[in-house]
Amino acid sequence: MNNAIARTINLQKTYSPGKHNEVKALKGVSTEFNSGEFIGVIGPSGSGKSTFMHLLGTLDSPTSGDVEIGGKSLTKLSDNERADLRAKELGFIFQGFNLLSTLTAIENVMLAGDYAGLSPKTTCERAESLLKEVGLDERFDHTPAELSGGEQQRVAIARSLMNDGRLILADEPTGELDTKNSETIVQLLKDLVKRKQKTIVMVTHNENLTRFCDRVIKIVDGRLAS
Amino acid sequence: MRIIIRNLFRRKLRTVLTVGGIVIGVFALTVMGAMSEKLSLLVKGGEEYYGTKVIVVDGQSSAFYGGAPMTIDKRPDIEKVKGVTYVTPEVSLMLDEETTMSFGMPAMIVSFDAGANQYESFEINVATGRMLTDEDRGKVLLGSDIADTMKTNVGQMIKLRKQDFEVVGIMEKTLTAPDNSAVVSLYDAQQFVHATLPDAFRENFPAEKIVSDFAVYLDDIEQGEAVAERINAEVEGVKAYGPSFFSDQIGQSLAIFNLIILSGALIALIVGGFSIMNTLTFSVIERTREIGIKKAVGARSGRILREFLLEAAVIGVIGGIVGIGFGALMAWGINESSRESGLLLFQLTPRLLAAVFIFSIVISVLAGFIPARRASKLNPVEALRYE
Repeated sequence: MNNAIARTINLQKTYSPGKHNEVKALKGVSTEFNSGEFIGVIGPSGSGKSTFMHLLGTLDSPTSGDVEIGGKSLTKLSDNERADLRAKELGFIFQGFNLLSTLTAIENVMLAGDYAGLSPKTTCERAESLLKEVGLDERFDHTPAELSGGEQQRVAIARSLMNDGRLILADEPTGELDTKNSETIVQLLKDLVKRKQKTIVMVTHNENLTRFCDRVIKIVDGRLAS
Repeated sequence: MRIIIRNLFRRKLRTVLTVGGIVIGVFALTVMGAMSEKLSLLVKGGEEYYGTKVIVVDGQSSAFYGGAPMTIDKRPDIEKVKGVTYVTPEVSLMLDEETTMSFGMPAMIVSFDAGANQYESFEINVATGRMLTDEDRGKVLLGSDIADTMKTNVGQMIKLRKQDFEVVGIMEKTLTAPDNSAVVSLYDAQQFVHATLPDAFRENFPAEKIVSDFAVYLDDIEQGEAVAERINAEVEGVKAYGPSFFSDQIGQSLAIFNLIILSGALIALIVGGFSIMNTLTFSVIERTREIGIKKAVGARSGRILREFLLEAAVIGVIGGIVGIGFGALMAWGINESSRESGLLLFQLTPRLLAAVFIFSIVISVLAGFIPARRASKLNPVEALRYE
């Protein structure tokens, strides 16, 4: 497929290889993600979903196999090149929001622009615009402690869009939200896919939310389930 | 930078205590350094003065200067020695009759010889008033510090060892011994020394014959040691010291002394550095998850390293400024309180303050390096999982 912006090739990850506590988290996952797709990743706990996301997000290295993003093989990239790739091409949304507690909402969003090498002016303008887009016009200067869970996740979504990267990885983005907020957040992600032509890969244990996805892949025991 | 300062003050008490450690070290280094600067300048002045001439003292004297008085009769014999250009008699005594010991250079009364001026390379200029002449009687030319201490100015009368003297001039600051000297004519200086002699001596030892030592100007400075040897060989009852004697003896002793006092202060600052290492190590542990988030968002390891090193540097800057401030205040305070006695122990120089400030930052950054490197090397996945 020419439209694929990311693909995994026989991706395998083994923790503590050769030791008594060896764990084979991924046992050869090959798949690809197309531009403008909203993909749901589901599977039981411990099936390897988070490991898959960490490898796809270049936060960890596979034991074997490869990840390609924009045609670049991750196994050939240095640590700094991976950091640059995350700064410029990828966006992350985590279950626990993972905002920096000492920074305000806008500073959290601007941090991603800073790492992406945007000018301070562009960073500031884009952060303001994104926060407005996710409905936080009045919350620029609030710290995470002053925001609700749903609002914190909106800040994280704005942060993931700051670098205007092509791939957004959302690891259980609704894990700490109630049903109403969960659906609002996922709908927001769905809208972003449409409006901005982003590719979103969302891990969720809530199969009810997969109805928003264009495609769903299931990982069971470290392998893709049909 | 705003964010760095905010990070530092997340744990206010801990940061204040850490900065306090650096402040104590910088304070000690400033105070001790100011003392060392004062002594170094005195030595440098001494090296400049004594480094171009041979000093001749009484043969029975065991001291380089300030030994037993001798007679001026030796002057023609010294003048005859090969390589000698000019011999100037010098008379010096402490200004304060009571002073027996002093840390640093005590205030002195010294004699003047117009004839030596043309040979003297250690330049002394008059800031206000005029230079002394050999014919002046009851007139004094004051060093800048001693003039400050006595709160006097040109044209005013002052007391030197209970005698009235008119201030005819004040010298420019030299940052060394002359600043704390009162220069009088040879005649007046001889009268002062004569008055201190025991009665039995005084009658047989006329004032105009008294000298403390001779300063011998040379045809060729390079031949100073050879001339000193010749004087020792050819003139009886005297002891001559060549140009290198001062720097060899006094200079080296003071260098060791400086090393000892500066080492003490340095250790204090290094201990302060360890407190930074401790604080930043805890900070890295506390902020493990935050480091993971930053790495996930795209921060390079170098960027994380830089952020923590900057925090260490900020501690160094704050500690440096406050420590230098307290140290300078202390040095100034002690100088002011001892100014009456003419004893100025400390010299705060721009180079000292700049060196202490830079050193404070360097120590802080070095201390911060290990925890900062640890932070930068954290695995992002493990860091994100950290609770």
